[in-house]
Amino acid sequence: MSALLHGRELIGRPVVDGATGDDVAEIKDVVFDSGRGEITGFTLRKRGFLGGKLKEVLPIGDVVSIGTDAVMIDGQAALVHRKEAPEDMTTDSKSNVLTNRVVTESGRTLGEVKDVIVIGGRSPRVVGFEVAGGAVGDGLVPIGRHSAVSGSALIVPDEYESRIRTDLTGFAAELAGIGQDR
Amino acid sequence: MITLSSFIGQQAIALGTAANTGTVKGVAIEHDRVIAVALSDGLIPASAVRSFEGDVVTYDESAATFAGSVSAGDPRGTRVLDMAGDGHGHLADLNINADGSIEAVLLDTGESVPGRRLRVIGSYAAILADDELPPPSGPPVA
Repeated sequence: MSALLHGRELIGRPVVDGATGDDVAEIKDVVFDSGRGEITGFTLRKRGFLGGKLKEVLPIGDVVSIGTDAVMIDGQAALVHRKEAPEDMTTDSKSNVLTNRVVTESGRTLGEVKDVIVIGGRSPRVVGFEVAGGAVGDGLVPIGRHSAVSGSALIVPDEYESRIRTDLTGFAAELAGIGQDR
Repeated sequence: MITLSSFIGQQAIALGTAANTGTVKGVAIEHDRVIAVALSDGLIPASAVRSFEGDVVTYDESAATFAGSVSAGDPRGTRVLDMAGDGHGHLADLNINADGSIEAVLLDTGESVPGRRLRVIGSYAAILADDELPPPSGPPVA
């Protein structure tokens, strides 16, 4: 079983090369493809309090695992210059899902996206969003096979309104309920 | 078998001259094996060491030139991660066999893991490989 975590928890997490045992970078930001609803990679910064932004990025396909203590790669070739990064790692405004509205199929606004909820481990992926400011209060909304994500809104089935939870434990149970078991 | 804690600090004696050439300051490890020993006045290849199990380190000074560059040190206290990115505490000690192979990695959590799982010890962490899969069972495939 892999850990559920907020996207913001990944910020600052060390990127460790399992081939050398060295910490080669830390996560600066999560790059999210709002069209596909998937993490495509990470921007990076140097390790340490005053670490500056790195020109290299880390595509999700080169991540061995997202663990509780580190993001693992296997060789520094995993880090690629942003000019040579996969196309889906562009960080233009379309990629930014934050502040997008979460709307039910019936048109009820559940809130605005404040963060993504990620399952770590060997196959990391986004499984939900943290929303706030909507009719039902702050909470965690799962995304399942029947959700639609775009650059401007996230559409979820009406029944998901009753699946909103405020804690990751309850959220995990709701994931199982919609077939997004870990 | 000897622990790293017992090994570090041992006197080093050259077999040809019986000269005391200093003390053990650290080791360089590659996968599950000590490949070099750092003495107070230099680095010697593990292949020159007669045995890792004595009360002192005896070595063949005619074979004591280490070719290559490695980083040798004392890995005790290094954090331990597996390839999933999950922490396992810190490296408390190593059990080292007479031939320099690592028998076990002892963690400060009180647990130990087989030395064959040790991938590398780096500047940030000692990395453990995934657990080995159980051997295949059932009839052989023709």
